[in-house]
This record gives sequence, C-alpha cells and structure tokens, in this order.
Amino acid sequence: MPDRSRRRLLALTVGITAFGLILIAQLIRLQVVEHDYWIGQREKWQSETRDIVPERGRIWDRNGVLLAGNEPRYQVAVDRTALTDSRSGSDNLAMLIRDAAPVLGLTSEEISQKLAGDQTRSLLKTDLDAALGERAMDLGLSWIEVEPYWKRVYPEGALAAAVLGFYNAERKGYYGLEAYYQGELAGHTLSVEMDRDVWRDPLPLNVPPDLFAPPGADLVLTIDRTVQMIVEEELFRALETSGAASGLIIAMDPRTGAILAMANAPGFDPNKYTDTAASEPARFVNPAVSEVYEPGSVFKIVTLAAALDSGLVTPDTTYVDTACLEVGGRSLCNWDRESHGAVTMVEMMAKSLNVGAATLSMRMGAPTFYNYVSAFGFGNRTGVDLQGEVPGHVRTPADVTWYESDLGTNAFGQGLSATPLQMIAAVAAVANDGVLVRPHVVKTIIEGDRVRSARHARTVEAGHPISPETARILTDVLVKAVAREVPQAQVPGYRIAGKTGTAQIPIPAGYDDPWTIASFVGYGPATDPRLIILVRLDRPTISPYGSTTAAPVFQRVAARLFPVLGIPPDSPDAASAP
Amino acid sequence: MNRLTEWIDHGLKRARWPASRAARIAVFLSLALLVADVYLVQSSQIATTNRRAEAMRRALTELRRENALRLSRIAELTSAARMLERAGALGFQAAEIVEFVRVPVVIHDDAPSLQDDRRER
Repeated sequence: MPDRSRRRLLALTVGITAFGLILIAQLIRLQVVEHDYWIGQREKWQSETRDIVPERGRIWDRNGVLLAGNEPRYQVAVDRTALTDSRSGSDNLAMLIRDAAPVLGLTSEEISQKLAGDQTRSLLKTDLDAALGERAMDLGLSWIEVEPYWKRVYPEGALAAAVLGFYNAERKGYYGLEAYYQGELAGHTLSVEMDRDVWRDPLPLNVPPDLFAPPGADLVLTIDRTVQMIVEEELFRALETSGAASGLIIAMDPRTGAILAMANAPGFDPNKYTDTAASEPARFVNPAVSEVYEPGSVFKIVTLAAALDSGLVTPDTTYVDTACLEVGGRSLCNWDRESHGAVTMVEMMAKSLNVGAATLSMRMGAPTFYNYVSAFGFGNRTGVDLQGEVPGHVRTPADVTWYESDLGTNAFGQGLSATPLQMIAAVAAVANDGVLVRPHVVKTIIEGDRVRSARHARTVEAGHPISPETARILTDVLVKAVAREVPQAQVPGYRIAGKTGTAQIPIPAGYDDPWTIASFVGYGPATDPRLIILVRLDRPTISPYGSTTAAPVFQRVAARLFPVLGIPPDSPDAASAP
Repeated sequence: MNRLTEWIDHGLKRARWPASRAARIAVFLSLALLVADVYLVQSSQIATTNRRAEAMRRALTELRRENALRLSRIAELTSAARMLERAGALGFQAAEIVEFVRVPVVIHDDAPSLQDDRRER
C-alpha cells in the first residue's frame, strides 16, 4: 500500500476513533452522570398522569323523568412555562390576548390578572359550553389546555331539592341523596399514566387500555315528579294562605314505605347552590329528616294505639273528661280548657282532648306506654336513605331528666321530639295493618347493564307495634273522628282517617307563645290505604290550629293525588274530586 | 446491471473472500433485513391500530358528551314548570272535577283481589 493511502487510512481511523470516544463520553454523561436529570425531564414532558373522572350517576324519578343529570363543560388553563418559553420564537402572550381572549370572553386586563402570580398553571375560564370549548380547542395553541368536565344539572330546578341535595365544584355530594349515595353516584376515578409526544398528543404505541372510567350508578327513585310538583304547589299555596313561615309535606305509600313526594318550603335551587350557601345555608337542611319538633296531638294516635292494643280500652270505652288533670304535680289541660264529661275514645280523638290522652297513658303506666312509643320507632332513626337523619328524643323513666308529668304530656305529643318522617312512618304502621315499614326514597340502582334493588328499596318490616285488629279498629276511630270534627280534611268518595295536631314550639326558656306548629296526618282510602300524607305548617298567622290551617291543605293534596295515582275511591258514586 | 455485478465481483476479488464466506454474510444480511421488516410492519400496524382505537374512543367520548347534553336539554324542555307553561299557552287547564264512574265488568271468582295482592307482598 502506498504511503499516501496509509496516511489517509490512519487519519480516518483516528477520526473515527475520536468520534467514537466523543459518542461514548456523551453516552456516559447522559446515561450515568445526568441520569436522574434526564429521567426527570422525561417524566415532566413525556409522561403524564391523568385522572379520568367518570360521569356522575344520574337520578331519575319513578317514571324515568330526569331529576339530576350531567352536561359537558370545558375549562381552559394556560401552561405558564410553555407560554413564556423564549425558544418558541413567538410572542405567545400577544397570541393569547389576540386569539384566545375573544373565544373565552375575557379582556386583556382580565387575562393579565389571571396570569399574575408565580404558579406554573393558570386557570383562565371554566363553565364553557360545548361550542366554545371546541372553538378553544381549535385554536391549536400548544400551551393552552382545554379540558372537558362534567357539570351537574338539575333540569327540574328547585323541585325535590331537599331530597336530591346538591353536588359541588369539588366533586362531592352534599345533603339528601347526593350525599347519602355519594359512593354509588361518583363511580371510580381512574388514574392513567400516558406517554405523550412533543406535541403533547398520546403516543400511538402506548394508548392506555381504558381511557374511560365507567360512569357512576344511576338511581331510580320512588319519588313521582308529578306528585312532587302537586305537593310543592299546594305547600307554597298553603304558606301564602296561612301566613306560615315555613312548612313541609310528605306523601308516602303506607304499604311499602315508598316516599312519593317530600317537599319543604322555603327551599333552594340546587343549580344555584352557591347563592343559597352565601345567603341562607340552613335551607339545605331537609327538615323532614334532620329537624325535630314536638308533634302535638297527632301523637295521640300512638297513645290510643297503645291503649287499644294493650286491651286497656275499646273505642266505646268512656272516661270522665275534666278540663285539666294533674300529673306528677303539673296541671295538664285541654286545648279549650273545658270539661267534656263522659266521652268515648272516638270523641276524645275527634275533639283532641289532652286530658283523655293523659288519662290513657297514666292508666297504662310508663313501662307499657314507652314500650309502645319505642315500638312505633320514636327515639330511633327510621333508616331512610337520606343524609342527616336524626333520631329525635324520648325521655323514659330510665333517664334522670324524666319526670312523672312527662307521662302525661308525652301522651299528647309534647315534651318529646320526633322528625316528621318518624311521625308519618308511625301513623303509616296503623294504615298498614300494624306493620311498621322503613321509609325509603331509592327504588333501584342501575350500574352499567346491571339493575339491582337498592338496599333500602325492599319493603323492610321494621316491627309490628300493634296487631292488625287494633290497626283496623284505630283506623275506624280515626275515620269517625275526621268525619265528626274535621270535615275540611274530607275528600268526597274517600274515607279518610287522620288526626290534627297543634303543638307549641319549645325554646330554651319554655314555649314560644303564641306560635304553634300546625299539622295534619291522614290516609286513605280507609278500606285499603294507599296514600298517607303529613302536612306541617310552622307558625301560621291566620290560626294556630292544625284543623284550620293544615287539614284543608291535606284535603287539597289528597284530592289531587288520588286520581293522579290511580287510587279509586271507597264509594265511586260519591266521588267527584275537584 | 452488468456494472453492478462487475462491482460486486471486483469487491469480492479485492477482499479475497471465499465464496462460502460471502454466502454466509449474504444470508445474515437477508435475515437481518427480514427481522427488521417484520419489526417495522408490526410496529406500524400497532401504531395504526392504536391511533384508530384512540380516534374511536375520542368519538365515543364525544358522543357520550353529546348524548348527555341532549338528555339534559330534553329534561329541561319537558320539566314540570315548562310543561305547565306550555300547556297553559296551548289552552289546557287543570281539571275542575274528576268523575269516577262504575264500569260494569265480569269478575271471575279466581281473580286476585286487593287483599290477595297485599298478602303476597
């Protein structure tokens, strides 16, 4: 080989070797010396962990009307690091103000305000509808992140808000069903690690196996939208006509405990829960399950049930009614402070005589009376599937705060506390042949293709406080009592059993005179009760009495609901429901 | 073509390789090419399929969003308040009276009664 070629070959060898050494040196630098740094860079730029939040389960009424659903919305954020990256060679901020601001409906000042601070990511806009969200995506700006999310919507507005509760921006349900069934409705958020290319698009070789989190379970309620609407309409009307400050109505099927409607006023619109949270957060509380009251004379149903079932009296048993009766050193008087002489149990209920009820509890004795009170569910939660149920309170001789006079006052529903739901559930037991059933709001839960009964949906017998015979006798007594003294609760063609209640309102220093809680609980048709309604009006101004204020509301609600629910009258010939 | 074979011949002669060695190298190169080809085909197929799957998933997500939006809109348009308003505008009003009439029917003795229904419950 000539020298010239040999020199060239040597030069080439030296060159290649030098190049190889440089490559090896770089390899060592990248793979060994700066290993952690480059791994960090990869994780920062290429790998991304994304939380995929599933669509929240929807809530339907018993007939498939949507009560709570979800709408897609978009939020737009800006990646500050990429926005200010000088290597891009363009003025990204100017581009943001020129191209993105009009789409987002923001002024340049507003954008500057949102970019203030030293965070790496700034949220520019939330609650963009689908059209604007897509326009923001089409801008094609790599440093703008357009993220879709689900927004909870309640198409019926304030209807049944106390039952539904609301879902907030932190993805949590509060009050009512939204809170009680949070686990079922929320589903499971998926955390997915994705590799992305330089344009932040997912690498095609590494598409995550499941990009979609299965949606949360749907709830189908026992609530009937039409029934709920009628009940709410009548409740608002009742507040206007009676001058009451607030009120509530519960409608239930006494045979199963299925709640058909539960309304309270004033209420709130779950679509605008932030307004209520700022002004009157107390409105979120469902008084039907979360607030207790002294039920008053409605409770005489429980007292008479105990007396009849224990064999102490029959409907025709008489006692001598004096205007007042001394119990435990305390004088307990009739509401009219008059003596009524010899009266039967039917008259006692019709005239709502406190002395009669106290006489019964005294004759029964505390153990028997309180056993029945407990058997009817007072002092314990009903177990309804709504958030925040409270148990109420009944003092018994075992409590140090119990006085003998409590035995008398408790007999006519004073000196003890219960929730309206406990009260209606107890009276429903009388309508249901003496079987106490657990009230419930959810009928079925739908998870994907699987439909299952909610754990509360089955008719669960919570006890048999009285015998079927006693229940029928008591129903008859209540029908006669309504017929005699509360014609304003009668619905033509239907035999209505019921009882009025007028209770004083306890305050720390006694009772809040002259204010009362006026109520009426009734059910029908008495031959085969299929609907029970409790009406409660707080602090009515036109009259303090349940018979004057609450009973007519019951009548209007029942008269509208019987035909809507397809409940035939006891005597069709007499029925002509307005 | 002649020039190519000449060039290969020339290369082999210059390298002074025996024919068997050249054949082994050729087989090795062919196998390497085959493996590379299979790898590339597989990779591109996986990439294409994943791209397609991703596009379909995106379309599915979009459809779900659209469905949810439509469902919500329908619910809003058929809400109780809207229906009442619309019914009123069309001249409908609440019934002032509901009359129940007896419908003569033949009742079979073995027909289930309300009491039976309640017992079954």
